[in-house]
Amino acid sequence: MISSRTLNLATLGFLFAVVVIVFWQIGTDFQEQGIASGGPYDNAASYPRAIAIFIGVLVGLQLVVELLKGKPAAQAVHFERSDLARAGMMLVVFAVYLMVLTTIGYHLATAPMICAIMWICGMRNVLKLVLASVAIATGFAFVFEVFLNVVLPLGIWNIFIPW
Amino acid sequence: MSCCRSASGTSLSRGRCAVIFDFLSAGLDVFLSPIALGLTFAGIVVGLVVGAMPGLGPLMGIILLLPVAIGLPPVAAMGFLIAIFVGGSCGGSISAILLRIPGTPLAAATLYDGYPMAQKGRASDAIGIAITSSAIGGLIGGVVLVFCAPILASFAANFAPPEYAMLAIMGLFAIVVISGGSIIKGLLAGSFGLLISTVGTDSFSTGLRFTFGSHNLLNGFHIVAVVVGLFAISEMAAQMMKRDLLKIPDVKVARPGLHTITLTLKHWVNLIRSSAIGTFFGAIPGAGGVISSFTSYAVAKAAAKPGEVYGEGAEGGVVATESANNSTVGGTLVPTLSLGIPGDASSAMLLGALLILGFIPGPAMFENNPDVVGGIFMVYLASNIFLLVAGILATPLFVYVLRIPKVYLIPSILLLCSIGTFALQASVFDLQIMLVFGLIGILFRSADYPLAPVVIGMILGPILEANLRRSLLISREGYWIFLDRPVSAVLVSINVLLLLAMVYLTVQRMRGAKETALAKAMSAED
Amino acid sequence: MELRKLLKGSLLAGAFVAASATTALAEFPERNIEVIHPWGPGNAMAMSQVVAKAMGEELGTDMPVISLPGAAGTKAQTTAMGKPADGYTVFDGYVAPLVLQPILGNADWNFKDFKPLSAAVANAFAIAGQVGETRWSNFEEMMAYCKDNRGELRYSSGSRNNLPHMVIAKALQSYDCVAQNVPYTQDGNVFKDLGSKVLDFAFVNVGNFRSNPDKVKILLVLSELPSSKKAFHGAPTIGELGVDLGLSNLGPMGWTWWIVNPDTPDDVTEKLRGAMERAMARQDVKDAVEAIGFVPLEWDHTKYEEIVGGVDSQLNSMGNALAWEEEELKKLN
Repeated sequence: MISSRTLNLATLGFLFAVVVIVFWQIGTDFQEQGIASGGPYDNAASYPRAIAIFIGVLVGLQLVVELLKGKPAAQAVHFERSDLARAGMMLVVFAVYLMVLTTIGYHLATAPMICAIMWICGMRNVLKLVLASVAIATGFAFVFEVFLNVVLPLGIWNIFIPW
Repeated sequence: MSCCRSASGTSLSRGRCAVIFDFLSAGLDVFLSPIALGLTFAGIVVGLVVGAMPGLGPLMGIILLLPVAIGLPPVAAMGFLIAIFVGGSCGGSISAILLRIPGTPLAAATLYDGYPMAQKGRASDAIGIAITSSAIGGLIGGVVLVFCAPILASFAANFAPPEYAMLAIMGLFAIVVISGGSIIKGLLAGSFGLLISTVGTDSFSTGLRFTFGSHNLLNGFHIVAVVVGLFAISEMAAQMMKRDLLKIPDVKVARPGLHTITLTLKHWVNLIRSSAIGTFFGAIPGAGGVISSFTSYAVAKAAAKPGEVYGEGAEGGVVATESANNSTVGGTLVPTLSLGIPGDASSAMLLGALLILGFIPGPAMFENNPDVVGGIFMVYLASNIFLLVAGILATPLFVYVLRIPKVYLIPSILLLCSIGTFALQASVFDLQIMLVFGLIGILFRSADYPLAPVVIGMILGPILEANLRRSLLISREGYWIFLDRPVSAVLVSINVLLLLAMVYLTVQRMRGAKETALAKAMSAED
Repeated sequence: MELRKLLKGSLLAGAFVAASATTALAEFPERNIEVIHPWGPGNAMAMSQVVAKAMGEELGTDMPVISLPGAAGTKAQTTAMGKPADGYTVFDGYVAPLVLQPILGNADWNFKDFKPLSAAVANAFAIAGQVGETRWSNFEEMMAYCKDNRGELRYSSGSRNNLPHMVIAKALQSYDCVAQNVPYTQDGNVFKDLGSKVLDFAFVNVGNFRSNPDKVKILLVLSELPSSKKAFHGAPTIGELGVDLGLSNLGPMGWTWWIVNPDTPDDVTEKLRGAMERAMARQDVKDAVEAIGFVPLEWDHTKYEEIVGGVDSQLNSMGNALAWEEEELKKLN
């Protein structure tokens, strides 16, 4: 469904964007801070600039290799839409979890996140979903909070378990 | 040069070996107490667990348990902490082999062959080899520590910024060697790692680079958040695309056993060479286990026999990386104990613990507290033996993870990655960074870019930049400083030779690929 | 049927959460208290863990120390300030983020913006030279050499613009000596490179010096405390110099006062203060602090404004030393 050429070009595009960001920052923020020139004591730009140029050259080379290769016949990566959707949904659920973690805290956010991912995996037994997600969330919290003294995010309501 | 001589090269009155055996026997008396033995074993178990969990590693293990240790008798306390260091340096390989997620950055290079071994149904063997190599590598590092600490420390103390810069460049060449497929892709991934390590406060100009006004980025990206994101998140996304999520995996778990020791010992040349590399990098303050495991892997791959295909489940790959990163532990203790200069962040915490316990590391400690020095030698050696025992015994437990249905495994791993990464700095921002690098990992993997070079690039980046700039500040004649100093000049010439060899090999490889393609095309025409 | 199960499950979970939330209203402290430490793993962090452990024992809870290095300690300070003012976050308030960085214009807070718990520890620095140096035999001769050979000497204060850098720059300015500062991220490497004669002089801390007293020669102790002079084997102190650097008491030293958010409730602050004072008075804590090469401080919170205010005004009045050094170095290039 997605050709390997598209993925390769996307990666090259990403790396090119990184190079652009480096030069943009050196031209603006570095200049303002006065760290874009001078000797090794003050010049914070020369090293990232050198690497960015190197990346730029490599991106160019890889692009040439990519274009010279001709149209790849059998190299398309075949994924069903539903398979991709599961991975995408997992990432969305995880991203939402990380966004709300600070606000609602570990103990309110975690079990629903696990539950949702298990649901996406195809689990439909509600009892198993609830029990497993609560058990996993609480079990890990116990290990980290009791044995390793980690304070997990409490959220704005300060929710914690006094083990 | 024999190690059984004093640092200055003169023979001590009774010979250094005799003095060392006095240390060891004094240390043995202190070590052979139930509490010291018990805690050393406990430390190994804790270390294996924190190492295997994505996020936490030996350093976090030591930090989290230091308050417990400082209330204990000195040798027991050091036994506990050193064992966490030893176990944690090995534990990361377990998740690398089983889940394709390096539990610590140290195990990033173990992925290359450890995971393919597990894919071929040899998970137990791979873990057994990883543990055995770690233990033997650790013991080799230990022998060097015990017999050569003062000599190695005084040699390493002469490594100054120019030598570090040249070593870092040598490390970068490893990226090219280990990049199996496209060298350009490997170099791109490595350079990306070099670049992201520049984010944060520049220690020279004190300016802020690529922080975009966020105070969370003042110290750049946490290496662990990046590693967990790149490997774990992308792997979990890949797993989600499979269709066996609800099934109980039908994995035949081979019984691990002592035969893995035989398997490991077959690679004895590799084992000794990688351990030597690991000990050397450990002894140079600031280099560390990641560089040594990548370098050892590159050397092992370059020296591979015709039958060994590195990157597809070669035992030698696991032997090289795991013996290297555990012998590094012995190496880092060399400057820590004999100079009071920590070899890396974990040994910096050990140094702190030692001071709290009332001992000042350095030459004087060897004279004033031979029982403590001997005790530390003993706990270090013993913890490697315990690692072998505990590791082999626990392998079935670890491998059991493979039999957990993915519907439970995937959310558990995601959660473990989150808590482990959060615990580093109590920072939700680190988790967001982890997710961003997860997306980058997915992109890189789908376009067939290797991920491990990003890790080595990120580790080498600060060493390279800081020491280049430091060298130029110290130098009164610009770049000539790299040739004026003998060790640096030798490293420069080695680097030039390596560069020439690489250009030659690359051309050969490209020509080979072209010929294969041509042959294929011709056979297709036929 | 399934919906009912789900409801039942969520009710149970809700009750569980409510139960834990109610207990949260009980007496302080009900859970772990985090100590935000501004440096990476090492001696200073181990030291803070000693104090935190003792203080936690006094409070009946655990106090994990979290290392948040970055931007001379300002990352930790900013992060800590963003946490709720409930007493569950204590800042390890080192001089660099608390006083020095605001003076340098890199932070927008003032030491008065925080509530002090108690003084914790201080650590003295010294300026050391190479063993077997032939160009000079003491600090003042080195300064004279430096004045005659502007820009030739190489030294390190560890990080750039840290407290030792400011103090050394002030000393160099007083003698009109221009030398190139070489930043390092690990103090141990500064000591190593001074020992192997890559650097001409450098700052050293007590810990590194005690491990290898034969590797360097102490030229000047940057403290007036008799205990610091003793720790550096009786080397001359800044008080004995021919020039007045305008630094006294804690001024030239590294130190930390533990502080909390200013909005922390008074009863909670008092509990924390009492626990920290008891912890700092404990002999085992004092012994451990001294063992690691630090000096335990015995001032309670009432002395905060006086002591820290004194350092603030001293550092403020010498703030231009770093700018002077930068200007002079630029002129040479």
